[in-house]
Amino acid sequence: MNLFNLFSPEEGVSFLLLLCFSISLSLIGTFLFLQKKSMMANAISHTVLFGIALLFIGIKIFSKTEHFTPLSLNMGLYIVVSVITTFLTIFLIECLKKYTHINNDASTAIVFSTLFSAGAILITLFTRSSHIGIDIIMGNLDLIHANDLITAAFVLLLCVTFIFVFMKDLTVFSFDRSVAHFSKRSMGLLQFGFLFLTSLTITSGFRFIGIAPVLGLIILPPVCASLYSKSIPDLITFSIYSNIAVGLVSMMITKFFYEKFGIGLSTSGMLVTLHFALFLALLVKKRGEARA
Amino acid sequence: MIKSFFSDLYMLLSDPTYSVSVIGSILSCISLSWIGVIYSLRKSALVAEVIAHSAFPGIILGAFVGIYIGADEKWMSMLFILGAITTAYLSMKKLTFLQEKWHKSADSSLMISISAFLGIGVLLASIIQSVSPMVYKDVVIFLYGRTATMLYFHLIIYAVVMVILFIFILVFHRRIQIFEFDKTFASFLGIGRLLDTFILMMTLVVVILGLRSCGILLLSGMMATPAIASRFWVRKMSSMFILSSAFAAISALLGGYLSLYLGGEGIVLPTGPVITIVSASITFFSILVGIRGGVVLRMVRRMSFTIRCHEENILKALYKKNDKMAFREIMEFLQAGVILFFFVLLRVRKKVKILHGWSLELKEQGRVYAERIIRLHRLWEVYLYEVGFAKGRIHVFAEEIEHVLTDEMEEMLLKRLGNPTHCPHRQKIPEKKEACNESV
Repeated sequence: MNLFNLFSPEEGVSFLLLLCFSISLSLIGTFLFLQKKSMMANAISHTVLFGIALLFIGIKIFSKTEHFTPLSLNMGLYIVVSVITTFLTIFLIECLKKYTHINNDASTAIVFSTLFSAGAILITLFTRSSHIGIDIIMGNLDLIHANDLITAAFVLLLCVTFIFVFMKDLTVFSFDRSVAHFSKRSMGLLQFGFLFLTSLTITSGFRFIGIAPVLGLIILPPVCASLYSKSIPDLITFSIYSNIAVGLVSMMITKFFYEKFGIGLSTSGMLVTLHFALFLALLVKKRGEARA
Repeated sequence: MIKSFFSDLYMLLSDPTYSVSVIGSILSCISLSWIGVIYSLRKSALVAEVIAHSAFPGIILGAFVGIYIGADEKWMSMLFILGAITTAYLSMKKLTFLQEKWHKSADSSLMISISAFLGIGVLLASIIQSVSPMVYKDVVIFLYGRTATMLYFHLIIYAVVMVILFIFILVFHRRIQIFEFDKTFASFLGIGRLLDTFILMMTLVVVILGLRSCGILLLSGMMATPAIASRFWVRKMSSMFILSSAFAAISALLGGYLSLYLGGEGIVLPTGPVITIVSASITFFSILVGIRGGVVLRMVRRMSFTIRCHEENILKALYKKNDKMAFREIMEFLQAGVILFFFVLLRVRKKVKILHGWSLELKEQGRVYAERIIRLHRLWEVYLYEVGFAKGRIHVFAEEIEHVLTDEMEEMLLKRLGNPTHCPHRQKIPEKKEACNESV
């Protein structure tokens, strides 16, 4: 099937970008789902604002510019800062869990709300507008440049390489911590690498396709797949197929609505909604099978 | 400075526009904190996150209905709230359904609810943005929270909700306790179902009304932080309710004040984040110095135990040597640094004599104490030996337990073992003097 006949070149680019991110997010999401750590993505989506606020202050001090626009932000700097913020978030949550007897949910809630509000206050203080930070992480799938594709492809390549090289170790690590501790390879390094990749994928995803689809794509495809497949390779293959299908359908529906009714639907919203519908359909189907 | 703070606070509360928003946020924060206590007992503090995110599509659905029937502003906000409650209810039901019927982990069910409803919300938002941009603006204001636009009308609603919640908690206090701590017993008594539904409905109403004062992104912080802070000061559930509402009220008041005065001239900081920061600071302070398991307290307790162990070891060593010992010798024996040794010395000072030339000698008081420790040590050795431990291993265990045993345990051991005179290593067990007098 020739995508570029179905879509205009711009739409083809955004479809490819979506595909890159959805595949890398499902790869990461599968292991997050197995480790029961998906809510981390939600926490990161809040704390990223803190990193952006620090970045703004840094820019203001060093380059003495007065006006900021979301687009003037350097992509590389953004990624570095948000990866650091992610590690800070996880570090703080783990610290709280370790040194006080607060449970996981509560410490997550404290940490992300504190960092988020600190970020919001700092941004208001330094830029006198409270919306800039939110604009930056609210990427829009319908406004994509061809250059963004390179970054997305790079992220995808990194994810695929990492996951396939360390597939076995990650599997062991996700299912059985105690076995992982006794295996010969260094699990600390593996964990660090996985966290780094997670934060890289999630935060660059925020910038390019927006928060809602990132949160959706990190949990919904693995959960759909987990209803039907029992092995990790099956899980990954299933989520890749469902990603391609749902991505394609959602792009087509959006295009159709735009051309017929002149309503500009949000592709990312459509994507998550369709994934959710798929999940519900699979749930109903599986329930029917169980009854029959 | 304190005087100017209070005069500013008085100004804030007497100003008609600000006072409404400050009182409104105090009321909603208190109700949120009560709900937060209940959910922190359930160990699911992130429920507010789910409700807040799932309210998003509901608000827009409400807006659609509003546009369709041509509602005015007051009705529009009622429709927003109605829609939000509907979708949040659906989302919470789906959450429990996934957890109970499909055995999904709490983490993934939370994430499914959040992301799915957020995605649907984004889709609906894009439709309403192209249909009616004006209404979309109202939706955004509702989502991110504007305390400044609060009216007396909102205040009354907040107050009514708070009073209902208060009466509910007061009347069903005991039942809530049973339900939260022992689900099986509660279902046996037949109080689970209705109570759970009512708590859920109250939660939905409080959280969605709270959207206006905190904004969608900060609700879970406002719900979780006062409850956790109170947990570090008190243990009883009723005290937790009282203390967390006090914390919530203080953070709302201080937050309202700081958002006006902290930014300097001309900048009003967003109220929601400032309130959350104040509340989070209270929580971190409580985590540090709280009297129920605070970090500092636990550290002090651990340090004082270490120091006591060292003290007892010094006394034991002096007793066994039956001579004075130099500081250097003791420090080597304890393997302690100078600072730790100083604290140990402070503690041991009444039981020993500090001689010239930096050395220690045992006083009578110290001798009695050391005898007790040695007696406990050897008694424990006898006990372990009788239970069946090898003779070579018992010394190490006794070395640990001698610092922990109490007088009562000592009595029991003596009685159980029949007042032994020697330990398994054939060393004499020092007699207990008071006990001998009593028996005579």
